[in-house]
Amino acid sequence: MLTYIIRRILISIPLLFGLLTINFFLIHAAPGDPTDIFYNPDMGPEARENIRRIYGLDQPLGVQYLRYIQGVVLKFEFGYSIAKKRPVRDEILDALPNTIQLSALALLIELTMGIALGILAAVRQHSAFDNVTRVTALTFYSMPSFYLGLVLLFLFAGGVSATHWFPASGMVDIVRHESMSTLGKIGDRAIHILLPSLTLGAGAAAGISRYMRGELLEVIRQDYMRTARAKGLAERVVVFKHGLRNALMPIITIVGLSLPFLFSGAVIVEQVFGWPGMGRVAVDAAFQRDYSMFLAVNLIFGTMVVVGNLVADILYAFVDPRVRLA
Amino acid sequence: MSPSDWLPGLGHWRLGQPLKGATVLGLFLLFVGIAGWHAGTMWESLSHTLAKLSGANVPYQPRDLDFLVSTLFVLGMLVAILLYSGISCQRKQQADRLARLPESQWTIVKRQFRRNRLAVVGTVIILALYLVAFLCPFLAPYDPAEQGDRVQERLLPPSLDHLLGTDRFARDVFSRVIYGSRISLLVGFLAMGLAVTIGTLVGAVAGYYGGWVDSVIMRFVDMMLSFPTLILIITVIALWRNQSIWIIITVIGLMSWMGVARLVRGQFLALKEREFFQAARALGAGAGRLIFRHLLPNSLTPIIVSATLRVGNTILLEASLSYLGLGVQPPTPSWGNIVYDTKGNLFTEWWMPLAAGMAIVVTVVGYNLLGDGLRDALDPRLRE
Repeated sequence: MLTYIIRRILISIPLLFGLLTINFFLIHAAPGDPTDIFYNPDMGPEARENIRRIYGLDQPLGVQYLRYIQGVVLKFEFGYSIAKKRPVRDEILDALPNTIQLSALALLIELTMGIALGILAAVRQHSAFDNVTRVTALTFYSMPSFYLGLVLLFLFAGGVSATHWFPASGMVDIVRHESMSTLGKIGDRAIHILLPSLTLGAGAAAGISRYMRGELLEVIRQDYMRTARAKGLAERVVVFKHGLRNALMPIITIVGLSLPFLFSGAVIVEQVFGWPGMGRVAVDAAFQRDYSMFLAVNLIFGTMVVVGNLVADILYAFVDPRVRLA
Repeated sequence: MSPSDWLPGLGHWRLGQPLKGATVLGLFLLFVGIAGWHAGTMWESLSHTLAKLSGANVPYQPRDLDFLVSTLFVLGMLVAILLYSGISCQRKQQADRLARLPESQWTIVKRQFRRNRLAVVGTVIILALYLVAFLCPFLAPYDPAEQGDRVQERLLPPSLDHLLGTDRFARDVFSRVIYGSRISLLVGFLAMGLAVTIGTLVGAVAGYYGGWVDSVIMRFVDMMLSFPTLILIITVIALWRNQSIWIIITVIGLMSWMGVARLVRGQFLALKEREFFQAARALGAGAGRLIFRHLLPNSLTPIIVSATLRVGNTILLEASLSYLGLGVQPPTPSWGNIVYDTKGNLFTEWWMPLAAGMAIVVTVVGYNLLGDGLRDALDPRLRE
């Protein structure tokens, strides 16, 4: 098991390295200059050169690349954000926990909702419930995440006054949060995170529920299920103990594969709900042409996906003894 | 063959296909209606274009081109429907006269597809949307980019004049939503086409050659697959500072071919083990012939299905980009940028963002229904 894990980690390293390299040269091949933000018409060419020298942009591309890699690997430094006027690392350390919070809760919602709906649809195949969930899942699956977010905002955060239960944006109530009790603070955070994580989780839950239904239907036709019923086990035991455990395994892989979509979705959802996370950082960096920020954002998202997939693979090997760990 | 068969619908009705006849007749009447209603505009558009072509010094704007395309589309559809009803009746009569042939593969697929009610709904949605996209200038009551009186006509609620009200620039939102269909359908179609082409080529090379070529290519595909596409796309579009629709289509296409590549590679690997392939290779067929005559045609079914299902995803990607303000630039309307423009009015003039977003949902649902239906109909194992 340990060798398997180590081997998987070693495979991930060149993957991330490749991403970093592609991004680095992609960004430097783009027209324009990150120092454009300082540009003003009264500035002479020397002043401009000076700024370029300060940020190390006057060096040959190869040198810049090696320096960057060196910084990331040895010192965990991602350079200096020209637009935010502070080290990229600080900016990321501020935003990353918020995104992880949001994504983790969304993943939880995705799994519980998806698996529960999938099981219900499978045990009642071809029933009205099955058909309704099928159409609903399709609709949610086909919905841009910003649209679901706007609909929820409209319904529960101000559009309909009778159901104005949730705040429209932010992570906490900026006016009253500081003066709240500990319990109040937790409650304040909870009502702020609910709508964004629901938006992020619901679309993915639609996909999971379809997979879950398919897997469970496959398992239900197996011989050992008939055996379980034949020896007189209760239907509940048959479905949950014999069926569900086997049907759940492929879902682990699906969840691993869905991580990139979850993070892409987070970018949009953070924008809709004014959530101060990595997605906001990415979009700001896009508009401000903040090169070093871009590289870091891509690398961080890439790492999260790679680590997520790693965890999924290891979990899969853990629950399914048939997977050979050669 | 009686002359009445050339009248849309009548022939089909006479030959015992009343439903088909009614559909053909309905479509024909629809286009006759549009042609009659807009006869003046159509005539103006044609004569204006002719004048321009013959060298007269008249201004010719993109909007004139819009009108010309729609005019030609209406006229073309009228002719096409007439020809179709005549020819298909003739064919039907011939087929009835001949002995019953065994059913062809396509007849079975078509019947399977029609039996699937949801798939038919999806097809109708998609066809209707393409119709709307082609007929924009005739269906939209106003010019989508034209700003009205900013004081008096700004943010009007829905009324008969403005079905979805007006936005903060006093533009008619209903017209903008109608014109927005073009961007979504164009992006969906072209970006998907690009992605499928690249994916098929890459997957074909990997699957056919195998060995280290396959390993290198597939590791690259794995790498591309494990990163959030949207963020890479944002990076590229933001850095190149060019938000023309063609750049957006290219970037979306370049970032979404990986699934197709995997699919085609898998198909090729399986097909390479089959006898017909071994036989062709033993006969001395070259790589090009083996790939394009033997492997590719046999992999076409899953490619078509995944292409259809992928259109929905590219439309969603474009909409998300537009929502971030990184998509097609105003005043050109796209559903995504209408939502972006009007999201500030969500709590007051909620119909604007919600209607534009609804259009996206309906389109993507349509494509997904169509794709699911195609998959079920084309896969013999899923038939009842």
